[in-house]
Amino acid sequence: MAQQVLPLRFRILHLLSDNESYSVDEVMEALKTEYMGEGQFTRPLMAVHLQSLKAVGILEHSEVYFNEKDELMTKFKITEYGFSRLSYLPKGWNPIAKSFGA
Amino acid sequence: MRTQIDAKKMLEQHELGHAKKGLVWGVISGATWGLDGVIWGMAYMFLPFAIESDVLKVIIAVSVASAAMHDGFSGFWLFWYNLFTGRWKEYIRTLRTKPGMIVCLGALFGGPIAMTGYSAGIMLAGASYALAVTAMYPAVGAILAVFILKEKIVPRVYIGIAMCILGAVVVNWTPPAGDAYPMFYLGMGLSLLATFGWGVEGVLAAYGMDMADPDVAIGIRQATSFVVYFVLILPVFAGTALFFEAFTTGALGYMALAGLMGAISYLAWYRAINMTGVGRAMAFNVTYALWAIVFGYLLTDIEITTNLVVGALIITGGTILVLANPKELLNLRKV
Repeated sequence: MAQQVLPLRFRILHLLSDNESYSVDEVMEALKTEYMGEGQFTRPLMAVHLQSLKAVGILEHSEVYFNEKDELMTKFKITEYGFSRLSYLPKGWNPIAKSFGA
Repeated sequence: MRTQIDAKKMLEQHELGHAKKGLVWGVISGATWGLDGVIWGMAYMFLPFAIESDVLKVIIAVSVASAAMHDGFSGFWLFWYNLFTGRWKEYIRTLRTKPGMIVCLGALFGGPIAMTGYSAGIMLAGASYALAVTAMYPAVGAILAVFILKEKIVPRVYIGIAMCILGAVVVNWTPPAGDAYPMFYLGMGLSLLATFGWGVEGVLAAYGMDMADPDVAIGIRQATSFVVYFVLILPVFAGTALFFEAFTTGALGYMALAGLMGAISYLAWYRAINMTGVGRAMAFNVTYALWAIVFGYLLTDIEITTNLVVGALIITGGTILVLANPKELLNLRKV
């Protein structure tokens, strides 16, 4: 049975449950097969989601740097609090990492 | 070549700018909620809401009918916003999750329970007075969190709660002169239902609601509230006929506008949370009690008493203490 499509923010959280750091573009690239074509799947809205998840303590900034175009880039990773929220993911969407920081 | 230190400095400046813009959204959320309440009160000038009765059954019927209209219009505007921003599919996806169901449960407390009390408070005591009392809902949430979430209350929060209670007493001490609100105290008592309902909803938010897209969550919340009103509350409390009749009178335009202000307030509130943090966003949001006094003065002929202003200021100050340490609130570098 195909896994249900998660709400976009839940899917972002699941993606980051591998404890790795992701930029906005990397999240877009990873999720494009599932959400491409939807009006909400835009870079500005994705940036809002990541910032919003940071604002409630689920994500945090992990890296900040300038890219080759001298644009400020940030990366996000899941926090311990955010990892604890993974228990609210539906069945079939287990966290990628076994524990926070693993 | 720009260094890591340059990048961190630029990020800090970016976040500070973000936080300042977030304050503006916080002000907008408070102002629009205050305006929502006042416009809602103006709808009570029109039939079928302009019924002068001291029969509780009639009061409740009018309250549920107007609250159903408010949440229905609010959900309607939010749905179009979410449709326009490509998020309509998120409604069903979110409802299939546990946090989504918690949003619906919270909607029962924040919707039919709270909004009915709120509606009755606006009708019987005037928007400016009702909103002043409901602004202490975070204090109720803090108390409930002790029992439900086993949270500890720090001294600052105790002082804030005490200020809220004192402020509520001050607001209620002297009702507005004249015979415009003969059931003032009943209205203020029913406003406490809103305070309780929103406080419970705040506690339920601890169970995963912060994972959900807030614009979708509030859309689901308002839609759930309206459905429960329409299917259950209106028939039980004899409000169905009043609800439909209101669509044929001048009340319609006011309720549609009040619902729009409510929708904008919620959207602005979540933008403020994203940009400037939960504590500051909520602190600015509860200034709605003060905005309701300003808009009540500008748009209606309600009597603004010294007690109302002083009491509202005390409640607002107390609620801010409940929400956050004032020093941290003022330090925009800590978002």
